[in-house]
Formats: sequence, structure tokens, C-alpha cells
Amino acid sequence: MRILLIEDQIPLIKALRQGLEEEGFAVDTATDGEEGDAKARTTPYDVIVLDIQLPKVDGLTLLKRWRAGGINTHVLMLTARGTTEDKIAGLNSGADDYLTKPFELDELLARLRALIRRGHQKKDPFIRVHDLTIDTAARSVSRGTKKVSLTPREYALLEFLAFHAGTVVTRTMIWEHLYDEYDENTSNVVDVYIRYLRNKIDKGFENALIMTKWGEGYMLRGPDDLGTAAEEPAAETAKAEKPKKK
Amino acid sequence: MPSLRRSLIAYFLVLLGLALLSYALVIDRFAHETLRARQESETKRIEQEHDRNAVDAEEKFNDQMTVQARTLGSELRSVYQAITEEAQQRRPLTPEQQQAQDIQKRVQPHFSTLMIVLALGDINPLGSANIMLAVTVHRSSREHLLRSVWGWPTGTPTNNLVAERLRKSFDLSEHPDYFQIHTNLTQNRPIRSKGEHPDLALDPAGLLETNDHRFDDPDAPHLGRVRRIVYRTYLNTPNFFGMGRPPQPGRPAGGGGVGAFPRSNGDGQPVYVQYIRKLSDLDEQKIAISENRDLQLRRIESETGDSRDRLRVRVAGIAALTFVSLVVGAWFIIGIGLSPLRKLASAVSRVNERDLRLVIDKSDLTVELVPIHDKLTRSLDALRIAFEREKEAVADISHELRTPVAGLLATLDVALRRPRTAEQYQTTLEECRTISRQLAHLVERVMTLAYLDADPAQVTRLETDAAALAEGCAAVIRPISESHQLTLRTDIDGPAMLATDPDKLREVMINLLHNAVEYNRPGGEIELRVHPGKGGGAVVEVADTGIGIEPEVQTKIFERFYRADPSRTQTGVHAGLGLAIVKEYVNRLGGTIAVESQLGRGTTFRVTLPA
Repeated sequence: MRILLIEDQIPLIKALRQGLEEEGFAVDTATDGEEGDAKARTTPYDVIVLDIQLPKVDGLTLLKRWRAGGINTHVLMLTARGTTEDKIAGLNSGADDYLTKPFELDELLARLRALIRRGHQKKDPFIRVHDLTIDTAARSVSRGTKKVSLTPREYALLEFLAFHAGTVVTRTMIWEHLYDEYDENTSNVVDVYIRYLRNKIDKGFENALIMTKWGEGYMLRGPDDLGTAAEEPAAETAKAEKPKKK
Repeated sequence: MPSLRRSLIAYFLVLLGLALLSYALVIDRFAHETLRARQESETKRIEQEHDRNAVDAEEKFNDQMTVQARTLGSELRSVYQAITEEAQQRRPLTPEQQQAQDIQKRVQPHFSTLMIVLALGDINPLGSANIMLAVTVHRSSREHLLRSVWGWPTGTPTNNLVAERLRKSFDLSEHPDYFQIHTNLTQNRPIRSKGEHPDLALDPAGLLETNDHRFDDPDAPHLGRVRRIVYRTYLNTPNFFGMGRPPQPGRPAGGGGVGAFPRSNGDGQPVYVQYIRKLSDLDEQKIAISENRDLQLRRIESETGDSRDRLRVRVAGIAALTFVSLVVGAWFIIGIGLSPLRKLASAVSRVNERDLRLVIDKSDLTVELVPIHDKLTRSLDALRIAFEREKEAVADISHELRTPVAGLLATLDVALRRPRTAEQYQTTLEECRTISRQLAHLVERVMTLAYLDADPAQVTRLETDAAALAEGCAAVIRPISESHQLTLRTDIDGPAMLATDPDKLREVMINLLHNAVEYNRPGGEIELRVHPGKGGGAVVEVADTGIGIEPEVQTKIFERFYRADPSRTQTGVHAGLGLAIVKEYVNRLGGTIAVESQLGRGTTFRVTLPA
């Protein structure tokens, strides 16, 4: 999941970037209002973490501007001002959640995940696709009775696919949501990680869940199309490797 | 706690009470005098009436005595006449008598039937013991007298006999009072009333020719206090007897009620009637009159007293009514008068720490209350601003503290999430140290301001050379400025002696120089200028070639937590307290601080300190 962090405190930015990335988030940062505004308008972030007191343009003004301009990305306000009035002002400006500094990293992560689930109209932290179960809160995955161990990036990819289960997600979409602005600009990485994921999810199971749609992208099977996809995994695996070879 | 209304009422009551009391006293005094004057005039009138009544009573008493005396006299005369007439008829007339009768008949043809003329021998110029009588018989009530006269043995009545007859005729108990009648006939034994009475000496001396009676109060031990009337009358005698007195033509006829007695022929025999009456009768009357007077006086006195009492009751009633009505009226009037004060009080009582506005319609107030209202409003506004600034400051402080703490916490959280290499831990620790230093620095500044606020008067004045101090500061800042690629130049003109707190002055210079380093542009310049002031003291200037400050912001830069450029806060060092502390110090030292700035060119801070 890709997150924009707009914050003027350099040490905080450094710490949060590291913490979030280690949890599998792709993190972009901005240190003042104008930079944050520009990034928010050009990239479809899953969540924006917004500080209120910012140089040049303050967070509340920014948020109001976005909501008026039709940018409905989920926003988590982050500020050192902890009074009720400040919280009310933030929420009234269109913020989806509010966190007062100083905060626990775990709480920030939990709130971010909740906001992402909300973005996909899911309240249940468990996503179930056939016998695959993803616990988005604990970030653990199991297929049948077997527990699957994933790296943060693999998990992020699976979660993204799971949120869009039954529909095709393009490589660009995957790339945009899983990689930050500093990552090398190549969607090849996506195919590599799809392969890693297939090795962990589908290998050894009767039904492959991750499918390749030629010329479009990838798809996690929806709950109702298990039968038709039974013969595809092997072919898809071969096909999926093709972009990598290119 | 005393109530304004009640105390006003109390003062009013005291005043009203005094006024009413004095009015009542004046009215009472006036009424008292009027009533007393009336009483006095009334008393005088009663006294006069009493005196008049007393005199009247005495006159009446005297009149009664006079009437009595005259009655006695007339009675005597009629008896005497009857006796002489009888004697005249019963006796054969001697030639002299005949002659006298003839004369009588001749000279007194007009005698009425009741007349008796008696001539007494002793005083008769004709001598001898002859009594000549000329009698015209008339039937009278004195029949018995006549009968006894009839029985005179000699037929010639003697003086003694006549006297006896007269005396007998008065022996009737018709006269309770004491009287005594002197005639020539009864010279030795006057006719007297019954009872044991002392003989009263006859003293005709007081009787004037013109006055037939007089009164006196004789000293008569046997009778007690008495009044006597001495009355003189005459027994008629024919003229030819030549008795006693010459005719007195000037005397009035009749002599006062005894009877019409023509005396054309003269007076005749004098008869003195003394009539005595006890003064106790008169005294009784007088006592009655006096009692009446006393009664009236008492009545007047009691009436006056009643009037005064009535008046007092009325005055007291009016006073009480006035008092009560004015008290009630004053209660309401004072209530109305105090209503603006009450409204103000109510508005003030509605003020609380959440709402510091004084909500009151100014038209409800009076002129006297407007200054209070204005002052209150101003004070509350100042208070509100102070509160808001305080709130702002607390929020600012908490914000400034929370931000590095958040960084610290996040850094530690991330570091502890998984095992790290030694280098990673070292990096984390270094970051934490940096943040902690910022925190410490911030806390230091906040505490400095807090100390300044808490102890506003702590300044230690020493004779200081500002120039030498500036050199020291420049030496401290120079390495820092060089690390920022800045040139620090000094223009110090010493010595600039002044009595000041060297620590605070150093703090001021260091802060300003730090500021100049912080807000400069790379490759810029800083100039520190120190000169002695015109009237002593010193002028310190710190000029930079930084971004400059907008004019509308220049007044705000000395406020706490104000930052001219928020973007510079990302270093975390500047919480916007530096200039606030500088200004506070400069104020303590009795100096002033001014700022001149051109956007993009740079800023100059000028501190002027007194000697």
C-alpha cells in the first residue's frame, strides 16, 4: 500500500519512513504543504498522513482544498495539537482519522490498515478467498491449514490482489500502490514478486488462485470462478515469466 | 454584608425621622402657644365676668337691703299714720285740736285716705304734750292696731304709747332679719326685731342731705360679719307743727320705691331704719360665683389640654402616615434607582472563565455606571486576550514539546521492531541524542521565559563595558557562523560603559547573533556594531543579509512562539522563543529594541540601552 507522509520534522520522517517500509508500505514524503499538495494530486495514494502545522500551507487548508477539489484519498491527521477543538476542526475539514503526537508506531500502523480496509469497503480484517485466509490486522496468511510466511512486500502484493479479488489489476496499478517514488521505475519487479507469491501460495495446492490475464495484468480468483481456472495455473506461470524475460 | 438599598433606606429613615420630629416639635410649640394665649384670654374674660358678677351680687344684696329698709320705713309710716288717725277720730277734739283739724282740713284737702299726720309734742313748736292728729280714716289691714288704739285710756296717746304701738306692730315674725328703727318717739328704746340682738348705736352722721341711706359693715361681735344699712325717712307732720327741718325742695320725690308720698309740705320727723343682714348670704353667693368661675376655668383648662392632646395625636398620626408612605415609596424608588446596578451585577455574575464577555445593554446603564462598565469590559477583554494567549502558549509549548518527542518515540519504536546491526543502533542512538538536545534546548528556553514571568524584577546591575562584552560574544559566534559559510564582521567602538546586568546583555547579543546565523542565506554576512549612546549607555546593532521580515510581521516577531518563516522550523531548534526572550531581557535592562528589515536584503536589530 502506498502512503504519502506530509510532515516537517525530519527525524520523524526518517523514523516513520523506515518503520512503514519495514511493514510493507510504500512511503512517499513531503516536508511542506505545497510539496504535499503536488504529490497528493498526481498519485493515487491509499492513505495520506498529514501533519497540521506545516510550512507554507497548513494541513487543514490543504485538506479542505483537496476535498473541495474531489480528491477523496483517506487522510489521517497527525499533529501535536491535542485539544478537542483541534480534533473537531480536523475531522470537520474532511479527515478520516486523527492521531496526536507523540504516538505508538503500532497504533499508527493499525489505523493506517483500518483506513485501507475502509477504502475497499471491508470492515472484517480477515479476507477469505476460497481456502486462502489473509489476516490484515496480524498480517498473517494461511492456505487451508498451512500457514504461509511472506515477506512484507509479498504480503503487500497479496493483500492488494485480495482487495481486488475477482477483478484484474494492472501492473501499473500494482506498481503505483506497492512502490514509492524512489523505487526503480520498472514494472518488472511486479512480475518477480508475483512469481514469489505463486511459489508460496499456489505451489502444492490443487487450485491456483493467482491468475495472469494476458495484456492486462493479474487477478486473484474471485470466490465464484474456481472451476474454469483449474487448468490455467501452469500455463499462467509460464506466461507470467515472460515479461520478466523481456 | 450591608445592602445598598437597606442602607439608603436607613439613612433616609434617619433623615425623615429628624425632619418629621422637628416639624412636629415646631407645630406643637406653635399650637401650644396659640392654645395658651386663647386660654389666657378666656381666663381673663372669666375673671372679669366673675368680678362683675361679684359686684352685681353685692349690689343686688345692697338693693335688697335698701328695699327692706324702705319697706320697714314705709310700714312704720303707715302704722304710725293709722295710730294717729284712730286717735284723732276717737277723741273729742279740744278747741286747739278742732282748730288744728280745721287747719288741717284747710291746708291739706288733698290728703289721700291712707295718710296719717302725727305731730309729736316734744318737737312740736306748739309745746305741751299735745299731739294733734289729723286722720283720714281708711280701712286697712291694721284693724287690730286700731282696736288697741281705740282702747287708749286717756284718749290722748302719749309718745310712749305710740312707741309701744309701733313696737307691737313690728313684733310680728315677718322680719327674720335684724333691724332697729330709731324715731324721736322711741329715742330710748328703738324698735327692734325679735330675738336677742345687741343694740346698735345710731350714727346718722354719715347720711348726707342728698342721700337717704348708707351702708357699712359694723364691727358687731355678737352678730358676726354683717352689713348694715342706715336709712332715713320721715314721718309726715303737718306744716303748721313747725317741726324740725326746713323744706328741701331739691330732694327727689318718693325716695326710691317706698311709695308715692307727696311732701309738698316738707319732711317731718326723721326716722332712722337700721337693717342688718349677715354677710354670709352674700358670701354664699360670692362663693357660688367663684365656684362657677373655677368650674369654667377648669373647663377651659381641660378643653385646652384636650385640644393640645388632639392636635398631638393628629400630628403624630400624620407623621406616622407620612413616614410609612415615604418609606414604602423610598423602597420602590431606590429599587428603581438601583436597577441598572442590579443589571450590571447580574451581567457581571454571568461572566465566567468560559465566557469572559460582559453581556449588557449599555442603554440600561446610568452615567455613573458607564465608567465601571467600560473599565470592566476593557479588563475582561484584556483578560480574555491574556487567557487566549495563555491557552495559545500552552498549546504552542505542548506542540513544540510533542513534536520532538514524537520523533524520538517513532525512531525508538522503529529501531526496536526487529533486530538491527550495531551500525543501525548507533545511527538510531545518534538521532535520539540530536532530538533530545533539541528538546533540552527548547525546555531551557521555555523555562527561561517562565522564570522571567515568575520573577519580574531580578536584575543585577554592574558597571559593564558593552564593547568588551560584544567582543566576547563575537568570538563565541564566529566559529558557528563560519560553519554556516557566513562572515561575521564587528564594528565595535569602545568603551561603552553602562550599569547593567552583563549576563542578560550577553544573552541578548548571543541570541541576536544566533538569529542572524539561522536566518541568513549561505555566503551572507553578519555585522555586530556597538557604540556608546548619545546620552550615555550603549547602542548594539546586529545586521544580517537574510530573507528579511515583512512589515506586517515585524511587530509580531517578538511574540512568543511566533516564527517569521515556519519553514525554518524543520530543524527543530527554533520554537520562536529567541526574540521573545531577547525582548524580555531588553525590557528588564530598561532598554528598547527595534527592527529594520527589507525583504530579501536583510534585517537589522537595534538595542538601545540606558547608562
